[in-house]
Amino acid sequence: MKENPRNSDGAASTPFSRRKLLAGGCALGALALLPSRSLGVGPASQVGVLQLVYPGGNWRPRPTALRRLMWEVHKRTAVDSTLEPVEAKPEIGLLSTSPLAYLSGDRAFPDFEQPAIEALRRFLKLGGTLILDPAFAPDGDTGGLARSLDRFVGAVLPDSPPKPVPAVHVLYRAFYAVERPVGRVEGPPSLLGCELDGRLAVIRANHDLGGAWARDNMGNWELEVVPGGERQRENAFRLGVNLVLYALCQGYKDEETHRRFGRPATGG
Amino acid sequence: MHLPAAAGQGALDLWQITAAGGLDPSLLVVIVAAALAAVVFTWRSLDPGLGLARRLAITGMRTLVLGVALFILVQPTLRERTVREVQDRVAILVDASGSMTRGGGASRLAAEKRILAAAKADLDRLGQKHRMDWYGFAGGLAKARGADDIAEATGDAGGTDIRGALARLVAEKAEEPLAGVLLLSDGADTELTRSADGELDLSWFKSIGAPVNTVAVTGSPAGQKDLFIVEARAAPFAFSRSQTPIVVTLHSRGLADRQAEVILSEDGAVLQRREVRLVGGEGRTTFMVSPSRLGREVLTVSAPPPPEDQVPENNRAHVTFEVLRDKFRVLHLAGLPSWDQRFVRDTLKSWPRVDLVSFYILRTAYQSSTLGSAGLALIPFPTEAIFEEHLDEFDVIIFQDFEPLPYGVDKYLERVADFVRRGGAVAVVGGPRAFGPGGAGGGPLADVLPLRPYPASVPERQLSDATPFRARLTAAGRRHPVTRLVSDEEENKILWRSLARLDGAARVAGTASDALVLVDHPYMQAEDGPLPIIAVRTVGNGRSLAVATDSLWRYRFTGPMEGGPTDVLPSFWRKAIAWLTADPELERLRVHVTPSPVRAHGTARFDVEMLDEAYKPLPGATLSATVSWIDARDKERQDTFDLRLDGEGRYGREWTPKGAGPHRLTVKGPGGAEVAVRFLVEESDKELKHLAPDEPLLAAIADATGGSHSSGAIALDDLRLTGAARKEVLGRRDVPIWDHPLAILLLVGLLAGEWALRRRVGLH
Repeated sequence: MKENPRNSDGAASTPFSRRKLLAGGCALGALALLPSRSLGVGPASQVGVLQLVYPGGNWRPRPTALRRLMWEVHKRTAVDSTLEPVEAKPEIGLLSTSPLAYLSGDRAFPDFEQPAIEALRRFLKLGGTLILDPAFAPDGDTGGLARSLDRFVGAVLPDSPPKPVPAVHVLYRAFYAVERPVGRVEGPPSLLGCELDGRLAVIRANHDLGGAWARDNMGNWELEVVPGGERQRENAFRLGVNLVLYALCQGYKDEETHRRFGRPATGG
Repeated sequence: MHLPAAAGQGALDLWQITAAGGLDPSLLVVIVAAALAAVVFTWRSLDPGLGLARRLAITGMRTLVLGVALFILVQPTLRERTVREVQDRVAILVDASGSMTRGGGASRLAAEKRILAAAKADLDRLGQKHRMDWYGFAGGLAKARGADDIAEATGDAGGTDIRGALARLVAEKAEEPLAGVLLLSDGADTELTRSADGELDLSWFKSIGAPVNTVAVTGSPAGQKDLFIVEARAAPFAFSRSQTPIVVTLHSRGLADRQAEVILSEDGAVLQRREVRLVGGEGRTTFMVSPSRLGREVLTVSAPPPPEDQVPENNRAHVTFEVLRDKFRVLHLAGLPSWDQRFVRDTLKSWPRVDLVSFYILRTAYQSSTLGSAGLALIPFPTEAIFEEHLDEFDVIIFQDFEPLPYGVDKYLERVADFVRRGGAVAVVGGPRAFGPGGAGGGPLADVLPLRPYPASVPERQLSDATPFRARLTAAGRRHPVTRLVSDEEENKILWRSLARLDGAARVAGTASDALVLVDHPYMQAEDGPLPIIAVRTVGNGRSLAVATDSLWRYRFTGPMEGGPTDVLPSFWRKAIAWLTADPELERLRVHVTPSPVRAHGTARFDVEMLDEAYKPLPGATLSATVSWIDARDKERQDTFDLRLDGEGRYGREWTPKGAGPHRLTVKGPGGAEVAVRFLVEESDKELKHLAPDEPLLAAIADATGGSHSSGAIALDDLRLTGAARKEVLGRRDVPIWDHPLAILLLVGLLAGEWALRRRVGLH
């Protein structure tokens, strides 16, 4: 996929098209169905996600995935979220707009330039969260994407190698009780995470989450989930919601008071 | 060699020959040996053909020469010394402390005098060999003329200090030899301290260098009936809202084992009661208290005296300790997950002094009612538990973008407002969700908040402005501790100007009349001035804070990403929490009383400092102060005075207590500022807690010093004294016996004689 041209704010802009118009109309229609909420101060106060743009490779293999995820976050949780991800190069000025970033790809990509690495490291150290969601080809990682991601993580956080996120981690209880991570593919039994100051700063899912989230503007799922079933797709969304809620609430659900006050139900 | 000679009155003259030449004895031995060798050499060098008589004559002459030369070298001197025999002394120390007359039953002082009267003949006989020095002692030491003079000699009820009395006794006449001490006492010492395991360190007594013979005067124990509090002990520091023990030890004498009631009270109000079983005259109980007020605490422990108690005055004790805050207990309620909520949480969680309880609305009430709950890991919002059961456990409640109505919190807002007026603190943070018609900043809470929200009739679009802006520090904000992020005022101003832009602000009608706006909008206006962004207010005993934006998180993320300082938001919230909870370090009116406790018969030092609402000193301001206490007759007493602050807004003075026990200093300043500080003045009568005789102590002192111990009588035959008499040199005179021309002439004559003799026999 070709890289999109950028406007003066650094966000990618896409050419006008009938397909875009239709998508916009559907999104407006969907917004109208949302429960009425009083708003924050303005759009900048809403929770958005940065989709990292990088040269070489394919930075957006599942173009509709993040929008669909944020729509589900908006629909299912109290988070006041923006639906459209902000496409951002890993530069200080762009990374400083939101502490949540998402990086994907479906093939090998060249190593990031040093300024980009340092900007991302600063982003993470100041509290940012980066979700890595490689979209492997159906026949596996034939393009060397895994090695590119390994090099990328090693460069950004050389002192925090990725480790499996244990099943008892609060990430799996941030909103939904998730027994096991799944995406478009069943994948390994746990996520990988790099810890900084006691929190997961980089979370890597080798399950093609975006493949399960992606839905076209006519409401059709873009890819089949493997081994299959709508339960798997729902669980992929639940994991995605948890990822966003973890970035916002960190270890909130681990607090002792939640064990003291509550019993599993609905609420906070 | 000593030669008796004529002596003056009480003095003797002694004669002695000494060598004044100052020769080292070893050198003298060498010289004598050399002289002997010279004599032998002379004898052997003479030709035997000279005949025995001539050899003997020459050698004899040589011997005489060497002898006279040695005499001159040694310089013999006749030394005359005038000396005096110094008589040693025996000190008789008689306990005249309060316990000797107030111990209950027959007076121990009377028993003491009977013991001395019975031993009068023996003591007079002892006085023929030694000089007898009489002393009375209690907290101090006083010379007395004899046994009958003791009570008048001391009259001191300020404790019993055996060690101090002995120390002064030894130091008073250090030049006079002390043969020994005879100590009569009940052993009820008030000054000796024991180690944690109850052991006494008696090593000092061994350094006296004279035996201390002790006589225990315990009176008639059967007649002494007393229940008393030996000690009420607490750690010097306690943490607010955490339990701290107060251990009370009771003793009884002459009373059957019994159950005694012990009462813990403060300012006359009973806090707790305990029943204590006294077994073998001893009992102990522990009160657990959870102080909520910061600063110095003074509590009273008392045991109502039984009818037969002869000393009811010692049934009460006081204990004082400083109450510190271990942690700020913060309740953080967020109406939705947001970046602003995330970074407030990060700040509070990373501060070890905060004990954080947080509840975030992760799912709206509408979502809960329409979307089902399958697979959720959520708990219901525990509204009732928080606001009905646990509200008072918190120091600060933060409502962040919180709308109370959907979660049933609206009916508790009046309770929260009351919590603030009673001394709690609340912060409301956010945009229209916080200050709009449904926000926590409206309704009953508005009465205690610094900002006035718009009425519900104002359209929603007018409740916020989404234009990014750089917040502006106000004049008050430059000095206020909440926004004083760096100590230098100018640097602080520069820092605020350099901070990241905020995304927008909630619009409010204005500010409460007694609120202080610390940060405002650079150009947006409220009804009464620039749009307030951060404001604070003091309401009753509590405090409140309002932050009218939901993007302060930019100070923790966006700003630092772009090279700005990283600690602005954490510093702001730490200072805000400290100010909201009236942390003593941030108080405008500060009152200190030192020392703690104030010594009996000592003075208390009052130091007062006052700042205005903008935290500027208040030079010249006049404040009023009242010291109140309960006197010995259980009547409330007060001492009121005005105090005028100096050029730096400070005031200090000494104050002399007029009674013992708990006191309270209340200082009132301009603008309703008022601070009350409690302090304790120690009981002046130390004897009250040390009335029981302690014969083992007396036996131990005797044992440590090599003295004897007896009980109830003076056993003169067992008395141990050292032979300490000695001679004192009054004068000395040296008469040289070598320093005469005849000695030289004799030496010259002998040399000449030897020379002539040698010539006569034909020797050269």
